[in-house]
Amino acid sequence: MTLKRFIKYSLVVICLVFPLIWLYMDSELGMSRKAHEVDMLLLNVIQVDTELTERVLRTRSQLTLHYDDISSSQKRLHNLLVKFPMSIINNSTALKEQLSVITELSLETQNSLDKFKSINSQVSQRQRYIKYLAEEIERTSSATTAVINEVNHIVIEVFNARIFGYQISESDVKNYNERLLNLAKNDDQETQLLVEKFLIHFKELSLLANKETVIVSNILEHQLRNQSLKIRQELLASHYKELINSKDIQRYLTIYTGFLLILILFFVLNRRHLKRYASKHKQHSERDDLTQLYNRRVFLKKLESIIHSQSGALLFIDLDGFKIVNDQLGHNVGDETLQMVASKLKNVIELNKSNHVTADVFRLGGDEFVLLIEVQDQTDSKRLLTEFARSAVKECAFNLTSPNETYSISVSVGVAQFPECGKDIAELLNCADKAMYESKQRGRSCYTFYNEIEQ
Amino acid sequence: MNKIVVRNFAYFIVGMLLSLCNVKVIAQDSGHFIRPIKPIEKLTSIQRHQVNLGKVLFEDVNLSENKQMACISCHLPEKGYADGLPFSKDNAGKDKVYNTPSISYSIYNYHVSWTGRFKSLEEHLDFLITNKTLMNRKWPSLIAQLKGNSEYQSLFTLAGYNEISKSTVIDAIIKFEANLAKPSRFDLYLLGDRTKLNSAEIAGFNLFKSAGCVSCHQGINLGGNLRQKFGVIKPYFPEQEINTRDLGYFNSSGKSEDINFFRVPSLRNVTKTAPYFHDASAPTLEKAIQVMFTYQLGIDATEEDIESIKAFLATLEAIE
Ligand code: HEC
Ligand code: HEC
Repeated sequence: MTLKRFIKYSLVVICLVFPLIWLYMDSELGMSRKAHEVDMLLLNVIQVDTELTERVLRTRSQLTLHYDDISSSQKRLHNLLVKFPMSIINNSTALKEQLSVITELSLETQNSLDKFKSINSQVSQRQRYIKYLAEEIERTSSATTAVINEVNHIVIEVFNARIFGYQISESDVKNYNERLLNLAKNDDQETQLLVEKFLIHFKELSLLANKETVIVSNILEHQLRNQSLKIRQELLASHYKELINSKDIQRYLTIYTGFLLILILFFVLNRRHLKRYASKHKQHSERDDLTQLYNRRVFLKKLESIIHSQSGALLFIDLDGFKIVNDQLGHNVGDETLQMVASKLKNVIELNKSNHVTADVFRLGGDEFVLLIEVQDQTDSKRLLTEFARSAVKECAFNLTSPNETYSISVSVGVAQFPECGKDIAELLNCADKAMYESKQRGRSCYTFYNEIEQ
Repeated sequence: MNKIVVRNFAYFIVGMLLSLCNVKVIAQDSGHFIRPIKPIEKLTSIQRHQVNLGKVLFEDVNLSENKQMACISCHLPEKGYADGLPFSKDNAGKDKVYNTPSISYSIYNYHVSWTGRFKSLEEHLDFLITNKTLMNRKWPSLIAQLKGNSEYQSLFTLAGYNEISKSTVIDAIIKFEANLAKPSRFDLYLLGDRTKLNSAEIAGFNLFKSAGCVSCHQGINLGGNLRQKFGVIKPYFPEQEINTRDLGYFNSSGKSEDINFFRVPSLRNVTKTAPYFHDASAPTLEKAIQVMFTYQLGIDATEEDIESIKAFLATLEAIE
């Protein structure tokens, strides 16, 4: 009983503690703070990189000069790295190296962006300037329509190239140059000077625009983002490797398996306990405490199972004079008497054992016993049963001696055969009872077959 | 055969339409090159104490090693937080290399200093405090000095700082600098009050855009967010015997492509901060504008152009 209680309480405690341990371990084994910080940094860098390229493309294609946008992204990128708590990765050279790669790339990116802003602004400004020159040429009285058209054509060509991001090749520039100079041959000095100036700046502009294209394509390569992604992957991989090799996890695993084993042990113990308990309980419910014979319940079950298929008989056995013994010599002697009868009846079965019969003895309660006999050989049935009944009567007749008096104990037996006397349990029992009663009437210590009673 | 003709015609039409659009883009200059500064809402009490602490630090000569120099020695409030001199004197009495710029709107600059070699005011302030020719201090001794001063202790507490440290000192001074940025008439104009500018000033603004100043001086600060060559169209510095100083950002980056590159400065409050340019080579605003026209834009500006631009730049003065 105490063991049972102990196990019960232990189980409750363990079931409560288990999730707590699990939670604790889980938090301890989650990504370490430094790896987490670096991971967050990389994620942010990736985000800023995306934002930056978007802003660069917008600035370029819309010809608006929102360098403030780009600058604020640059600032964010810068701050991410400057404000990163470097001290937490002090003891990890691998992380440090990876971060220094990122820092370097970020500097490069920022330089490219500065250059982009500067060149983009120069291109815008030159563009404006050649447009201004084109207007100047238009204003001079001597400029011919052909020259003016060609100049305007070039201005529009340049704008298109910028918006759609294509390059004006050197040979294109040369062609425009020759054509325009040819057209302007007949114009006067002032126009020719302006045209020359226009062409110089056009050439400069096309060079700058091409440079801008190169820088933009550089920025679009997303070096920072790709490197960050790569490092992130490595970080995650190495994190798990580290986790698996770490002393911590080994310790936790030991603790965990330990707890698991204890839990399993408790379950096993508990199971065995329950099993023992159950078998004891079963015995309890099938056997009579006093005589260790099967009880009424088992008898009925057994009878039920054979009454329809087998033939045999019930030998109803009632003690004669038991009440007096019990009353006068006390319960103890009464109990002893019952036990003696039980063993004697078992003996009867031993004595009459043969291939043709199987018999069992039951205690129905009080001083009533019953022998349930199955007979295989029908022809010899009557003789066998008589044999049983006689030996029961004989065996169970004995004397109890006490200091003052002698009490004689005997049994009256009633035999009811089945299926002859009925195939119903109640009917059969009734018959056996009647036969037994008949024996009592006839003077006890004898046996009676129900079908021989004269009605 | 017919199909090809139709297709080519379609291409032609589309091309013409696109060209028209582009011409329109050129003509419009697509508007928003400049973003307004919004009028500052009332500061919270903590912010007021932080700004006040920054001001005290800004004006305290005890921050310098020789106990004679404060930020305010070179950044004078009545001169728009510049000092009106071509060059200020450093702590040894020698001329500084660069002209002292206004710091009223530095908070909106992405690049800090004339060449833009600093990425943030924090970084620059760290440089100022520790630089040999300026404050010439070590942070630990400066912090110890401030900690030993009961007045500062209570000022820091009032300003909501838990401790006196490098980061809180820098934070307070920058809060002060940030609070110097005040909106101008032009901001109110951009925010929708069209009566704030008269027609001459609006004409100046239009010239500023159409002439192309706006390709460098743009953004919320009309500058401060990119580096650009000084002398884009025409070299401004004599090619022989060029000053080291005039090499600009090259001195920091060491890349030949950065020679003569300077940060495009903010034009806010520009009327108050003569002389102009990093080398103080333009004593008046007219001269500065003229230099810009000639060397940055290649335009021969007339007197009227310069006056017109000047009228516009005057609208950038902070409203007191
Ligand atoms: C000796 C005169 C002097 C003193 C003292 C001084 N400055 Fe300056 N300041 C300058 C000069 C000169 C520059 C331009 C330096 C450059 O571009 O390299 C400058 C630039 C700056 C800038 C950058 C402005 C911009 O937008 O790029 C800030 C901000 C600034 N100073 C703040 C301060 C603060 C804060 C202090 C006090 C700690 C201070 N200065 C003290 C002379 C001075
Ligand atoms: C190519 C870019 C560019 C263009 C276009 C340009 N600027 Fe500048 N601007 C600069 C740079 C760079 C400086 C700084 C020069 C220096 O550091 O010496 C400057 C300085 C100035 C200054 C002096 C600011 C000061 O505080 O010293 C004024 C005023 C000025 N520009 C006005 C203009 C005007 C007006 C226009 C149009 C007519 C214009 N700029 C066009 C790049 C440009």
